[in-house]
Amino acid sequence: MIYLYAITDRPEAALPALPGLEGAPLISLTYRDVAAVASLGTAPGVSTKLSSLEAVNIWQHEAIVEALMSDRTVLPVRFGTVLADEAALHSILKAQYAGFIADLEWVYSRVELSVQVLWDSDGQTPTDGSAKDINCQRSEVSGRAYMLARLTEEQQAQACRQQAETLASGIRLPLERLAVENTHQVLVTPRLLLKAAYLVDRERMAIFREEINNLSLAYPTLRFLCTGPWPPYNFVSNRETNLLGDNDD
Amino acid sequence: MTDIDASHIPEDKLLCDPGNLEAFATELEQARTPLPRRINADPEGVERGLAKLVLTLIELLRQLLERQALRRIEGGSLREEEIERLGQTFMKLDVRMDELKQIFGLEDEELNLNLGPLGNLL
Amino acid sequence: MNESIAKEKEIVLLDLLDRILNKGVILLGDITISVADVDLVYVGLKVLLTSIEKAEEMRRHTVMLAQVENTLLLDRKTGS
Repeated sequence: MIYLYAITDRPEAALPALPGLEGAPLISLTYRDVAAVASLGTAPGVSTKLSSLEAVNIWQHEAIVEALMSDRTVLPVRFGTVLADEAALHSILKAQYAGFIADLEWVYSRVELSVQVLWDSDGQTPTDGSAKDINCQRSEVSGRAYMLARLTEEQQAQACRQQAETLASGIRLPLERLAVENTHQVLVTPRLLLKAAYLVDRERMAIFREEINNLSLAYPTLRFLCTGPWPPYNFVSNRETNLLGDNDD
Repeated sequence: MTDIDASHIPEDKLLCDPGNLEAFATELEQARTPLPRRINADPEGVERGLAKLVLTLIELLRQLLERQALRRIEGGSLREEEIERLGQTFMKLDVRMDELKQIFGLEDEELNLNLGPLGNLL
Repeated sequence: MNESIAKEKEIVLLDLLDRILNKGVILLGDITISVADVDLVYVGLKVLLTSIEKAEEMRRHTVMLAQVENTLLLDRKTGS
């Protein structure tokens, strides 16, 4: 069994001196100009390790990916990806080669930065419950009253959402200018105004951090969380394997 | 999942002062994918997973119907007795949903489906 | 001081989990088994006997599930 950490460029580069899952050494499989970094595992061992989701496993995986990122370009693989054997891995590298090369080019010398913004709820998020309260005394209350309460609730929620979008776009604009790609979501939860990820040139990280500080001064009622640099998890393309009948070499 | 020991995490990933740490921890926990992308097929969870799926779909329908009704009320295209009847129906539906959730021990936040790139269903 | 560092690490961990469990290069495998909220994606699975057995058992449950689900939905249409 092969446990997979990342796809990288510079296949000739030496592997980091870190142990893989189950203490197994890291191995590298090369296909033309890309390498897959993995480690060998035993079936019960890997399953147990992975299924007991512990920070130490997560961090072990991440530390390997980040060590690789220090001296080469990396496409991080989602945690928990297990292949049967090296032949399977080779098939994937071969089948997806063009996509991997394109992704590696896109993220070359770039890092992912995470930004999340909290919107303090006092008076800014709609109270959900006025209609439910009515429902609790439903024997005395008319259907009409219920519907009108629901209507007010919905209208308030709409207004709130509108406000959130406007506020979020004010924040997003200066950040997007500093990035080459981004993902974002507004109001993932009522208090989480913005949840975003930015693909940024490494040299622009300092300016990006400065911009975050500027924004937190400009919006004193909001709370900003910025973490990173991360490997570009949000900026690689997802792939379907097509291993059936692809074992010809 | 917040009872995972985070001590292995390096300290230098935080790039700014977030102020309210507790609030972020709560919201990040909530913002994670609410359900596994597929029904957990372990025997004990089977029934509960199925209940979640069915109730999520019922909740979706309920929300769509309610939204449509509210739009028509706003637009003034419903008679008084229709509004009254709709209100009674939706109130009953709401109560019934609460009962079903209680029977299966499900919280509001658990009724959701993650559609990957499309986000959550509800 | 200690407690706020712990909180900071918890937040960073949550941020990491969001990426590492859901994003990155995702290979769709023959079998994806979800255990404790973690997807274990088995790609090109051929040789893992114990895992195959477990996966088969889970597949049977999933098929059963689909059948029960169909019955339930049908009942809703015709029932009250």
